[in-house]
Amino acid sequence: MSQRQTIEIEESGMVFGPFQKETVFHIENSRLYSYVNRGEGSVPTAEFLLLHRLESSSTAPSLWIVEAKSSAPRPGNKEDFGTFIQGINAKLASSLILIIAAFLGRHPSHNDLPMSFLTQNYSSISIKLILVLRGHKKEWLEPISDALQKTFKSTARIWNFHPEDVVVLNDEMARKQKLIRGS
Amino acid sequence: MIDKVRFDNFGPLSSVEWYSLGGLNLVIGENSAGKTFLLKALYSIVRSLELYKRGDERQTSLSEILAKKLHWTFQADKIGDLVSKGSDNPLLFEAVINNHKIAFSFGKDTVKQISNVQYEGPSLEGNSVFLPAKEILSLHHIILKSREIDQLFGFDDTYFDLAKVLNIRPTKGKNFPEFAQSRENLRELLGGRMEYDESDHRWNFKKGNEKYAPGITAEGVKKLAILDTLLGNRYLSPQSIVFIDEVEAALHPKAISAFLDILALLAEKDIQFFMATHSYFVLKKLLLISRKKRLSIPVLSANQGEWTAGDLIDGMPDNPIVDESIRLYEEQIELSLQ
Repeated sequence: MSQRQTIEIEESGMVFGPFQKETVFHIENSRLYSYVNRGEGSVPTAEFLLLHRLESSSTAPSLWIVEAKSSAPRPGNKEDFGTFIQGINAKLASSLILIIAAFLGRHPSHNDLPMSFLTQNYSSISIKLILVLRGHKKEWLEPISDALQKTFKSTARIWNFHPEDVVVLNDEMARKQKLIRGS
Repeated sequence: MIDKVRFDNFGPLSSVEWYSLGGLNLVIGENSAGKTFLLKALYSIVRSLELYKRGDERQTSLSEILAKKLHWTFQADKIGDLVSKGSDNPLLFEAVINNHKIAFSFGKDTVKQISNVQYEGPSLEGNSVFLPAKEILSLHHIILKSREIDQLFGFDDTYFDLAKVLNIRPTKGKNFPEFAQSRENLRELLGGRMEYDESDHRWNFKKGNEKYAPGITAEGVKKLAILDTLLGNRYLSPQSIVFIDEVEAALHPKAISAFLDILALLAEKDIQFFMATHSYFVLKKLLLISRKKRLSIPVLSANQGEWTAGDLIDGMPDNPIVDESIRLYEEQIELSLQ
């Protein structure tokens, strides 16, 4: 019996995975990304999409949209808080719209979403938008989470998920969730 | 259970409508917004309906009970002083409680007679209570003397009523499982219990074999002990409505979480809670309870005179408590760059 292929994604100094290959769509490496970013202007996107299934669960997977950052506003650096939050919002929200557009067949010649993404029931799939910040202290995460959730209110209503499904983690917490490889 | 309420020209509540109320209900807003006022007004009305026709009492009309309750709760010389300042329109209150409508109104010149109370329901069966932000155990006998003997303004009816019911002795025997579990959880949080000493008329905190006078007992302990006492003496029962001003007062964030879990458990046994808060922790904890239990937790939010109703089941409503947390974080970043 052949072993399933796995994939790891290195972003912002963290190694995400290993994930089963058919459950991951690495957006920046995709034909779809190249196509929507052709010519002038660009579509901001997150790092990757993951069909996440809880261990020992037979329920349908949830769709995780993951953005990684090695720097974020915190005491001691010069990042502008509002600009940072808006930037993350744009990346996560655009990624959500992009996958739905691809699923609906808006880009038939450039759609390289794995088959597993095309066979999901998007009317009921649970959606989680996840930001992973490398080296961020736990006590600095809460205000970022609050501010980000606030910007997602209308998007969450449109797509019928909770603003609290926008989740901010540091690398330690992401490791616990098995999002990034254990050291 | 209060299902919906409406206030017009009622003190700082110029226009408030709050529908689809649940077991746990939250009021937020800045200082002087009218949160405590709203809780006190609801308490006065609910308690009046509980006292109306209770037992063999048939002599006093609901309008008399209500006028007296409003007088002693708000301690205004005339109840017309409760009409919003600067308004020529009368105060109006409407609510649906246990599927029965109550409505009344009066103008600013009203001294003590509310002539048009509309209510066709029965007396409410439960015993409701208001837990003020300040603890009352150390002032217990002073409150009783001030009101029962001297009949003075100072301690309003929320304090006086609570002081009276704390005198009811504990009842032995089987309690509702949710109540018994809540008391056990409270004891765990408290590490002891409050006991009334009849000989020197004061409450002591008993931890193991040690007794502590109220003056050296932590404020938070006294606050939790009051709820334990009201469950132990069976004053609270299903159908009771508990109004808690500044639910976080004197409690450590960990204790706030545990306390709110206890309230959620009691709400499952049909005690209804109305809480006012300024606390980020209270909001966050209730948001988690709402999600975990898939429970509607209505929130009434005051912002510069405007009242907006939301529900934590739909996520955190826009509110100045979370906004301030974010602002402080931004300020921290700014400061560290200087």
